[in-house]
Amino acid sequence: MSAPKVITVAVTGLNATDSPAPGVPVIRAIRDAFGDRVRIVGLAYDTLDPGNFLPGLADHVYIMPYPSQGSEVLITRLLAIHDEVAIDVLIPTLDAELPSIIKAVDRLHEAGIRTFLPDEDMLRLRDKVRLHELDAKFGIRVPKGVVISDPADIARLDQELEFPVMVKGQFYEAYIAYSPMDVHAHFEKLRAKWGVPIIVQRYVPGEEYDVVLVGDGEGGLVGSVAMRKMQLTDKGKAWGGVTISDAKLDQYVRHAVAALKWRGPCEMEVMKSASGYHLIEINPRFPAWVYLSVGARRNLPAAVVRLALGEAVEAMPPASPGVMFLRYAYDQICDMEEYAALTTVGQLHRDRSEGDPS
Amino acid sequence: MPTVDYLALSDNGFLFDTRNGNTYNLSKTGTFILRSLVEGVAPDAVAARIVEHFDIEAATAEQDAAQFLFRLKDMGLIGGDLGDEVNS
Repeated sequence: MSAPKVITVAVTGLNATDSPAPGVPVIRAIRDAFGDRVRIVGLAYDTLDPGNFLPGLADHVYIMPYPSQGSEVLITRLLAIHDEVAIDVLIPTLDAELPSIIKAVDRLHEAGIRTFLPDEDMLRLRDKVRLHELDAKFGIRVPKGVVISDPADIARLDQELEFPVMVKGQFYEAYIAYSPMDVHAHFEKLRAKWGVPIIVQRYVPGEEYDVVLVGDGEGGLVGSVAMRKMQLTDKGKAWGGVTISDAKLDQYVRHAVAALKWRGPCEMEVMKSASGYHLIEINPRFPAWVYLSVGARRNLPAAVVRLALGEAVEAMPPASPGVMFLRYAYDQICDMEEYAALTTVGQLHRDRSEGDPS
Repeated sequence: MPTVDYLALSDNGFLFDTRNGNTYNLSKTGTFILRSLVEGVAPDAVAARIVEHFDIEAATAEQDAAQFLFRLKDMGLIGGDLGDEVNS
């Protein structure tokens, strides 16, 4: 199937604060690749998401209901937007919306919205609460982990893990704990914020590397870019980084992608220790630093658009090392009328083509 | 001859280890020594090359080169093979 002359790509997650969503860099990457041949629909969860207002970013912006309102509400809204702007490809970028969207993929495809995403089984496999199973099932080395929902289980942790350990929330945040008392404190903090279960993982000392990649769903790697963080925010997010070239890391990642038959984008967080590489986490979507892939001449978001459209994409060789990025804060002057439109009717249209609903 | 093709060294002494993203600033002499290795000079010939380019005694050059190469090895920037040659 060949791509339509002008394709319409919808991208979620336009937050761009100090813990940014990946939507803005994904859109920049797609614009770089497709230029005038793409129309961008930004799907935002907040009227004040900075990506809503960036000049030249989205042709249309729609406010979405929070995924916590339920799958049906989210998909109904998506289909209603599709009726207005005819979405060719949808790229979701947020963890919270992925289960709902992946569950509704057939419905979306029937409506004409194409995606290139992992299936429900893949999504479950990489779930933090099951990550420790990957070693036995697929031979992917991961730190030993224990899932706890009851704080009473903390007393028995030392039977399975040596301290220190990492205590992780089921969605976000991780803390190092040197004793059961530390685990208790972090458990309560994480339970209050993200609910249970909490994951307690063997601490792997070493250097962390992050790899953004696209898998073809048949065990092959379409492309990948490995990065070492150079600057962190106080939330541990990358504020600067550089591409690296490590043949053994590349081999490890290829093995993981092949074993999982990963389909679509993801970010693998890998710890390199004296005993080798350990997979710490798989985030089943592009990371916020994905624009580095464009700098490294491996435009992975554009590859996903093409794959979603059914086009063949040739496997890319590993990216060159030494390509750096630094994120910066920027005071964007915004149009009050645009803010008013998003606040009152939940949509904003800047499209220049015919048939625009604005 | 050990390979150091994973090290990117600029003329002003900025060193980038492409395997892990670490960066270093080298002194003029350090840059000269590492550049020599990158260009394929054998480790035991580095000292003589230093004497040719800098106005110092051979014994001092040998000591400086050995110390610097040991440091590079200790930091994991050059491999065991090279270290063995240096130490031999």
